[in-house]
Amino acid sequence: MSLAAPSVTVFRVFEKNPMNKKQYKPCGTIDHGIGRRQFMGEFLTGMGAIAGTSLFSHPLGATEIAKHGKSVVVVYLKGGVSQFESWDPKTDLETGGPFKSIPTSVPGIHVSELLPHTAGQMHHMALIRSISTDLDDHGLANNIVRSGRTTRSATEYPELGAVVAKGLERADFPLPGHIATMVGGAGRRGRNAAYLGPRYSSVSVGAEKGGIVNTQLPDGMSVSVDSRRHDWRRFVNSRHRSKIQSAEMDAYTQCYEQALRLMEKRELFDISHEAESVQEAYGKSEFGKQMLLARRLVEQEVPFIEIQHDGWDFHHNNFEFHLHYVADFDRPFAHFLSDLNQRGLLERTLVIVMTEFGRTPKINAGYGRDHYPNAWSIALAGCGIQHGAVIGSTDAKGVEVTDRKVDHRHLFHTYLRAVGIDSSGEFDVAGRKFPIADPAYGPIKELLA
Amino acid sequence: MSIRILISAWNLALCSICLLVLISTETLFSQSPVVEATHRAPLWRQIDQVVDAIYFGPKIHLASEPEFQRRIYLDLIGRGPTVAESESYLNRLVDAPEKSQQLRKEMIDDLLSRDEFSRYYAKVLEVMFTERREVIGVLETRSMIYQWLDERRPLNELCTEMLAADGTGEKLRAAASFILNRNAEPNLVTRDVGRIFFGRDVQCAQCHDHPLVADYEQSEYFGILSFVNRTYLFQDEKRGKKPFLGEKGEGALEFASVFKPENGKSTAQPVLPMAMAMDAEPDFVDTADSYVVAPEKNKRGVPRYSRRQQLAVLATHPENQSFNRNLANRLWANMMGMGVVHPVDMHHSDNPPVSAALLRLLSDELIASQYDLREFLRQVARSRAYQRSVLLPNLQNWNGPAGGIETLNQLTTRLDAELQNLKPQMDKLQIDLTQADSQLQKSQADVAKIQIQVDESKIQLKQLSEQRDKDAAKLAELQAKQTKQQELIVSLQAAVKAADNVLQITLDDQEFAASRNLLNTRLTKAIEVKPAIDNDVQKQQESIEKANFRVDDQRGRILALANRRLAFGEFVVEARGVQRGVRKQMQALIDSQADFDQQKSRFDVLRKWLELREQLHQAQASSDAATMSEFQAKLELQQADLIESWRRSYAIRRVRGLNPEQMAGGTYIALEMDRAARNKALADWEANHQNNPAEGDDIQKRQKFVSAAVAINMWDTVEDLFVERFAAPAGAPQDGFFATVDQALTIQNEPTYQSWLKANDGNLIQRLTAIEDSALLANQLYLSILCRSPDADETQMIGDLLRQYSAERSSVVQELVWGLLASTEFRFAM
Repeated sequence: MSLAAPSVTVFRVFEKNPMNKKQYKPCGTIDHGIGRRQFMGEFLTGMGAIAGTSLFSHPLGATEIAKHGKSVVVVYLKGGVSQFESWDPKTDLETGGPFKSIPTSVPGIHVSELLPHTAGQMHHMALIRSISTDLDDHGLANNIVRSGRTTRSATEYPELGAVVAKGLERADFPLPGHIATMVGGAGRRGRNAAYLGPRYSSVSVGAEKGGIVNTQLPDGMSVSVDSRRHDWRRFVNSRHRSKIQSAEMDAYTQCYEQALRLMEKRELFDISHEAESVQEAYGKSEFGKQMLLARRLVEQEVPFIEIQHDGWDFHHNNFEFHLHYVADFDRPFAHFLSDLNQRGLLERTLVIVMTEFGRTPKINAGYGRDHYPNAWSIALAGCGIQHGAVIGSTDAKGVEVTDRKVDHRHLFHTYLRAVGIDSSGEFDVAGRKFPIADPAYGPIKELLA
Repeated sequence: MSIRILISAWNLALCSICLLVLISTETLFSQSPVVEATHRAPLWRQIDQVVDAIYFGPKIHLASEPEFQRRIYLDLIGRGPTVAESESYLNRLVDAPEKSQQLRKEMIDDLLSRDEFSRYYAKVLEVMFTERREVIGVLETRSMIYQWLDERRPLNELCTEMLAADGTGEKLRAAASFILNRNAEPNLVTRDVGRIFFGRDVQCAQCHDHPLVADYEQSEYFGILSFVNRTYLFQDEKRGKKPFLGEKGEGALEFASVFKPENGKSTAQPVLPMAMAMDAEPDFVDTADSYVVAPEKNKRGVPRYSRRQQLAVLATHPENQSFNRNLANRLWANMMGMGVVHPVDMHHSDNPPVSAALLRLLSDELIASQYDLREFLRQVARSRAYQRSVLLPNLQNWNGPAGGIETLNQLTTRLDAELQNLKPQMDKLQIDLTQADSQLQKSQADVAKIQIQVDESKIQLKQLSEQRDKDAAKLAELQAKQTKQQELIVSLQAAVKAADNVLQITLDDQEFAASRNLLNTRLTKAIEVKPAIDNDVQKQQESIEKANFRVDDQRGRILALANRRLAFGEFVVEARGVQRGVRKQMQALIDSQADFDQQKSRFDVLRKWLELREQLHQAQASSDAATMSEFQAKLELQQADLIESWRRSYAIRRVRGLNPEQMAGGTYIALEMDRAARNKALADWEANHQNNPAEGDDIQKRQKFVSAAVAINMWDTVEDLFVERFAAPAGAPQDGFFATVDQALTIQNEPTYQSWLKANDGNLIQRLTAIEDSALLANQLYLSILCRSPDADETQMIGDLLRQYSAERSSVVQELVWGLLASTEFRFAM
């Protein structure tokens, strides 16, 4: 394995004292405050229309960024990635496994040698190495990390995507606010918004010939017939509206116009419109294609995008599988961060590498690692967080959290706060009030920019 | 109208509110809350009295005939009227327009008597109970509810079954869906019993007192949870893992607040809101005694005393005010688009009913009708409140109630006085409640004391039984020893005897004689030892007898204590009864208070509007343009508030989005997809009755058969598409409106939906395409989809379109149909 280690000097001292503030730059340095104020203004009035949003935008200057909406991108490593073979490598022979750790672009931070490309992006990232949860069942753990609540039953709380889609909602936005990417196949509405309602549920979108289900005209219908039927529909509606008006009626009418705009933008979801060199850079794997689609969606200021990378549940041959899986993740993910950064998008995008739990320090008889919720890690990148920060730590063997223990509820608050959503607030859904995040918890304050 | 008349009208209104309070105060002390209904006005009249009493705006007209017809069809049978039904109704009106009210009444009666009503309402109630949760096991909830409604059985008993059923017994198996569809997960079941049966969402009170709603305490959450946490999902291996509900006979709950852990743990009491509680629980000496069938891996647990059965009865008993109010409110909301309490699962003092008098009336009459769904809906549908128009009144020339602002001020003063009057009563009740609470606590402490003794005695019993068992084991050991000794003696005796026989033959065998003597010595020794062993056995037997006595004594003591606990329990029950009584009186006062307060704030809204308009008029006189537009803007905002307050109090009808079932039914009938299904059903009927012409000619039976076939075809063909796109997610409240892009994309492009717009099987498209006269076509188009005739402009527009694109006539017809189906007028009910 080639170790494309960035040439940096290692200062272990930083890792011991991650809160040395001088070393960390908040994102969106210049206009950060302005952007946040503007955003909060919109959030509070709920309906601040953004002027001059071009749909196929180009890299942006800082002043323009302030006008633009934030995005959250979640890369979900489903099945439970091993913290040892990724963000929290250990040199202990008994638990650490065969891989070494390598330095990163941030002095003092080391990650697994399986992540050479991502290591080069660490100056945009932060790590949390002290997560401790108590559920080791995939379904239940998946549920709590996504909802930021502890519930042992089926989804009763909206997932992060729905909360972000509502929190960052903007008037007249033509695309769905909560998108789950796929490669092929038709899009469906997920059931993950609970009481926030289907408006905030995920819509799955394919990266190839893609788009959203039902965005093509019925067989044999010409564009002129389509526009004629819509003109007639508008005539009927305007007559009805002259008699009686309501916000609900207007919302329904608006959906048809939004649908038409969405149909016009079908090609947006098709990554074949990208230059061959760009497609190459992302790699033509399923994951690379989805990362590329995610970048196109971030450009469009879609509030929430999730990419799933499935199959990380390695109870057998953990190391051989991680060798391949982490490599598959590493290059497209690193390129995604550097591409966002080059286009000026990373300053308004929070990227989260999520998983449902970690894996056991004990290596089992089949060279596998089993489910381990006691001490595990995730990685963040982009806006709203201290770059180069490492929160918490585990002991030398990686068995216990030794410092700054956090769980899914702190993480949920932190994600929201990083993109400017007041996680201590509440949503009012048709008169029913719901705390946005678990009111008994709060964010990891020292991680926030 | 003079001020005096108005004031006296208001007096009447106040009186009627007081009267309602009085009536319910009386019912507090009667055995049954059912009020004699005979001497009272019909409910629909009373509804209008209450609604009119709080309305101080210009006259609001009733909905037009076509609007009313579409509304009542959608609300009662889940679809719009067919063209034939529209035409027949309108024709009857042409002959006798003055009979509108009579004809509306007949229409309501007709719809309620139809099979279609039972089918549609089965769906409505199924959605209410299951909130579209995925079905676990094959549970035909909808057809069970249909059967229930078809047999006209009372609604509260259906609710009882939904909580009581355990999945055994084919007939009511589906009722277990309420708990089974929630995986019998106790926290989820608790939340939804709270929400769906009592209208109280106590979810956030799980880990601490509700952070936003002061009324919802953690103890309330655990009160419900204590009834259901013994119930569990049982999958029968022998029956293909079919799910049933098992229940345990033991298990108490403790809880602590995550915010105030220092307060320590409390033991949960099985109590429902408004102090609805069960009799003292029986106690069983042994765990095994508490079961009919003890739970095992392959055995469904059935306790002798089931808390869930207690819940089923208490939760749905006519005495349970939370239940009655919630059910009446939910049924009312189904008809009116918004509950008297809204959201329907947020009954608490910070979210008061828009009119507590109305809620009380609806709830009392629901009980008085013995939970007759049809009768309740009939009355609601007959009220003017239901039949009102959605159109806003013209406020241009309306100058407020007679006497204007001055009247409002006087009335407000009066309300303040009324509110003052309530205070001492409330204070007194507060004292009563404190007393009742302390009495309850005392009684509970008595029970708890005995309970401790019971628990201790049970531990002692366990120790005694163990000691007895040990003694028994020892006895068995001794007895074995005794038996062995006896066998030894017998064997030795035989051996000595045999040796003697040998010695008689071989007299001088000294060596053998020595052996014989050895045997004899052993025998003597064995006989010598035996009495001691016998003695040990005897002693052990005596000691066991004593141990048995002790165990029996202890059992007796426990039984006695348990009985004593039952007796003390009666006092807890009594204390709860007192508490419940005080709570009910308090509720009546809280209701009056809320009504006075809400009326005051309605007056405020109206007063501000009147003041702003006065200011605007003055600005107009002084013709200051800037000031004028400022007032204009303020007035518009205030007017929106005013209109909303009138809508909220049912003076003006709210425009409502159709629910997914109504969308499905509406689309199916609009496109006349029923024609093919009807023809097929008729042919089937003929074929089935070739050999039985007598029954074949039974018109009623045939009608029921055909209507059932059409209804089934309707839901089967179109329902899924609309539920998938237009229904809230499973487990979420299903009464909200939402609009999403994928709904519009479905209507625009979805292949199945598009296929319905092709001409075939005598559907609407085929029928319309064949009509040559464009005015007639326009008329039939509007009647079939929007249930009204087009006006001149609309007819003109259609004529123009058909002329301009005459070469594409069939496509234009489809576009016309599509445009109306995609319109707001179709999506919403006027």
